Amino acid sequence: MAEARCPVCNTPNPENQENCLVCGARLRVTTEPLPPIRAGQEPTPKSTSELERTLPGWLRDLRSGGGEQQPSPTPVDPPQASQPTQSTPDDLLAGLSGDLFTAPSEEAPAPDFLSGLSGAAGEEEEEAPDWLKALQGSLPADTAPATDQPAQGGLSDWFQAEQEPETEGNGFIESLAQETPALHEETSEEVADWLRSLDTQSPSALRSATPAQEAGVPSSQDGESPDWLSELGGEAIPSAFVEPAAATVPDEAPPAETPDWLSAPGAEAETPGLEGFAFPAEEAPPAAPQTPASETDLPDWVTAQGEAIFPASQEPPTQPMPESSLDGLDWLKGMGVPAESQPQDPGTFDPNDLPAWLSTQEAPARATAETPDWLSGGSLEEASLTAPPKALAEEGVPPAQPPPAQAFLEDDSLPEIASAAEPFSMEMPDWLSGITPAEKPQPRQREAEDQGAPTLSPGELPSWVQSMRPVESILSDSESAEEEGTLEQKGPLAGLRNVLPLAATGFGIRKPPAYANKLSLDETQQAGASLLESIMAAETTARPAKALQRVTSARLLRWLIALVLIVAVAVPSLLNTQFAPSNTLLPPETLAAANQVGALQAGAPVLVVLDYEPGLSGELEAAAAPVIDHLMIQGMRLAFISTSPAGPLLTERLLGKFQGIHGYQPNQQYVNLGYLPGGPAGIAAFAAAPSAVVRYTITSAPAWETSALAGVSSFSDFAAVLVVTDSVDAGRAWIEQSGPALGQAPLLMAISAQAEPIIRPYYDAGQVSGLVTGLVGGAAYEQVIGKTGLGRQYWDALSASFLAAEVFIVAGSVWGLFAALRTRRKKQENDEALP
Amino acid sequence: MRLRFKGLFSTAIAIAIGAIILLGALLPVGGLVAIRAVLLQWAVILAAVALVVGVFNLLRVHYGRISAREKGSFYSILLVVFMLITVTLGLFLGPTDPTVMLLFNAIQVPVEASLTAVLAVTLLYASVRLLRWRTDLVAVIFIATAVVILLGTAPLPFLGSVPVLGDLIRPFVAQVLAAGGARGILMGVALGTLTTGLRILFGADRPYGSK
Repeated sequence: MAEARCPVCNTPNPENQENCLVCGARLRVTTEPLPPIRAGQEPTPKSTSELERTLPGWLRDLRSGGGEQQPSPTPVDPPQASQPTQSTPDDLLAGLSGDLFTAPSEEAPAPDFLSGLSGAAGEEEEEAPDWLKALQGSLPADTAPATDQPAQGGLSDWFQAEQEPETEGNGFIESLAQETPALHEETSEEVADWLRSLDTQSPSALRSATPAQEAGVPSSQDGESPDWLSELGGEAIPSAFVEPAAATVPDEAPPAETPDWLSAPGAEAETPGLEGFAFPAEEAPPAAPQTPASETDLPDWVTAQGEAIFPASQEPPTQPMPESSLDGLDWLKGMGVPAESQPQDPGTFDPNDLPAWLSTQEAPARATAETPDWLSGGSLEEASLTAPPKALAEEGVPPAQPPPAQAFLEDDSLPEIASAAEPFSMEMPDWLSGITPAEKPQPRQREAEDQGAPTLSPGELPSWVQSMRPVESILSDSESAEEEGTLEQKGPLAGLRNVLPLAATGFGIRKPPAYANKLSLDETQQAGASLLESIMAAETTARPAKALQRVTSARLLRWLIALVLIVAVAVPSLLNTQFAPSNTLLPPETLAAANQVGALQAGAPVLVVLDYEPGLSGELEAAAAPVIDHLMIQGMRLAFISTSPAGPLLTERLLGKFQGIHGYQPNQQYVNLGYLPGGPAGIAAFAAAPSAVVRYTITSAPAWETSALAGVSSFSDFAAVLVVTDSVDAGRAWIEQSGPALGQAPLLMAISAQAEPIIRPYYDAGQVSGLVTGLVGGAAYEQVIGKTGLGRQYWDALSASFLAAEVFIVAGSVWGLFAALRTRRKKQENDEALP
Repeated sequence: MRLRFKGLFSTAIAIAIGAIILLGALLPVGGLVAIRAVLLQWAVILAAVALVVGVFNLLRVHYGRISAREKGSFYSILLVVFMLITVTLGLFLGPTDPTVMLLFNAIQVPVEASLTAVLAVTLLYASVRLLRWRTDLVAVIFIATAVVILLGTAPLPFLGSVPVLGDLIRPFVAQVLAAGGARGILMGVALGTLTTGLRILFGADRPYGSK
């Protein structure tokens, strides 16, 4: 029948037994591989069994011998035991690991790493360091273990019992180094020095140095354990390492040989010192029933301290530790651990009870701000890693132990630990990688809040914590860590990486790019710019002043025209030339007028209307004169009337030209009725009742009583009406208003040439019996009547002036046409010249 | 209300007189013809008075310019002076007096004849410059028509009338084209006059001062 051997006491147990029947330790490891630890990240599970190739050589060597579990009473050196710088810490860690972890038995297959570890430890056994041997010799043989198993002997015994394949006290560090190879490799050399020095120190010196440290850092739960060892464990094994062991191996009991101060935490798989601040008392995993250790098994200094701390019982004190007792535990207080979690009984702790060597070490420690110099004055690397152990030994300070690694990992403000461990996460055991620092802080913090304990803010880190920050020593060589972000050098975030935004760290600050001052324009923009430039240039360019226009040209032309016309009119008139032949073709309207006049009965009254202005008297007199002359020739009685105010005088002017020819006398042969006002109304009125409208002549004589108007009572009594007018309106008015009243009497008109187009339709319509138009008409009428009058007199002048006018018009038009074309061409050229 | 009554009265008078004059022209009835003749005589008298009023208005305006010493008041003085002289001479000497006729024949007729002569020179000058100012078809037609009328109206010195132009083209242009346009104008004038008369008769237009 297969049997399962207890990894603690090596007692064979039934296979189906879970816990050791002797020591109660768990025979099977039930933990599952956990992902590596990453700061601020949730762990990801990994299986390290496939990563065995990546394990370091010494660990593979350990694994190679993992199958052999050979209990050896002698201490086992680490694989590189020949190198004292590495063997010593490995031994120490190995010894601690024996407390922390349950060694797998042969029957119960343990995790790979444990199997290899145990094998390696069994194979490579070395002698315990001298200091440990001395310590073993000084320890009582029957130190009461915390379990039910009785103590089996001295220190070497319980080390052997607890870690059969491993060594004594050095195995604690060895096992820890094996399970935390990253930390081991990281600090192997430095730690080896101090451990070497520690190793080389005499037990007395060790004994004198360790309690001095212990006095400053009293254990919370097990004051029996040496504080230096607890601190060592706390430093070497973070809480992450401790917690799963405590959770998974709660019932493991330390071997009987293990002293109480070490076996008690060993049962809980935790370092006592770490357990005290790592978990509150309420959350502490149930430890196996522990038997109070016999005081005889303990060293004196341990016994004294144990009595001082736990005088009444061996049960872990649950009462809060007084602040005075925590003076040296600023790091512990700073972790937010509730005071209640410190199982130190303030009433039972008496510093005076400390041994002399402890008191002497305590005094200087308290004198220096109640904190050990190595803890308060120096940083982690200074106190524990870089400081030469010898120098520290000379100063009477115990070898600087690294502060509890739990503080690093549990402190959120220190992610460098995790980042530093990342490169080694692959080499970490699965169960270690599965432990994250974020698992416990919450209940601990909640408990701290519940108990009213002050919580530590990130900006209020204790000085010793700040000094312990792995600013450079741990992470300076990690290139990968540097690549992750900026490392804070100052302030509460000193040592932290990549915690501030990039903008705040000045990552985004850079030299501003240099912009070219030249514009990049495309063709369209360049064309527009060129156009705008040309417009601006045209606006600013002085234009040549316009040449003064020769005003004299137009004026000269006017004067020339006037002069030519005057000459053309005057010369024939003055010279009475006859160079212009008369028209051979007489206008029919003129002939009609002459015929109508010729058809009038001699001596009949004829109404002559002179409605023209003095300015056109020359034309109209020439047109009307032959008709009037014809009438006078006919002996007609003439009654002159005018709708123009100047008419009466024009009448006198016209009649004055015939006075010498025909001898007409006013009021006898002719009568000047004067001005007929009212326009069409006056014409209509005159046509309706001439005698009623015009009663007197221009000479104020009764018009209708004169001989010239004898027999005339109405308008129709006139034998003919001759309208001489230059006005279309006047001619129309006489035609329209007097026509109906005229009856059968002919209406003759002597008009200006300009009125012909308007009056001619009346002639064509028959409303006008005869029409004499202008000078031409008068000349023609003269031709008809065979007399020479003004028509003929003006005829040469008219011909010459018309010829001059025709020449001027033709020449001027041709010149103007060419000039206009030239101007247009120039304008087009100018337009084409413009862009 | 007063204004409305005044307007109605004026409109009624205008419509009534217009109707009487129209009926008197269309219906040669004794009474209407007599009334029409009387009304037309009143119109002649009113027109004569209006002329006198116009003369006085002209005198007042120019007197105002003289009093205000405005620019050109000297010409106003001449106008007023010679108007008064003419009126005075006409009233006292009569319009047929040789002095008055002298003033008329020596001043008014030559002045107005000179203006007409200047008009002839200006028209000729405009015709000469027309194609330089405006070289379009209308201008060319205008110039061509003018030249044709001139050539057809009067014979050329020593050459006589231009054949075809004097007996065909010029009569055609003057008696057909121009007469046709003139008839259209006359028709338009007649329709306008008729419409205006009807509007006045219907009271739509009130040129006598009322709206």
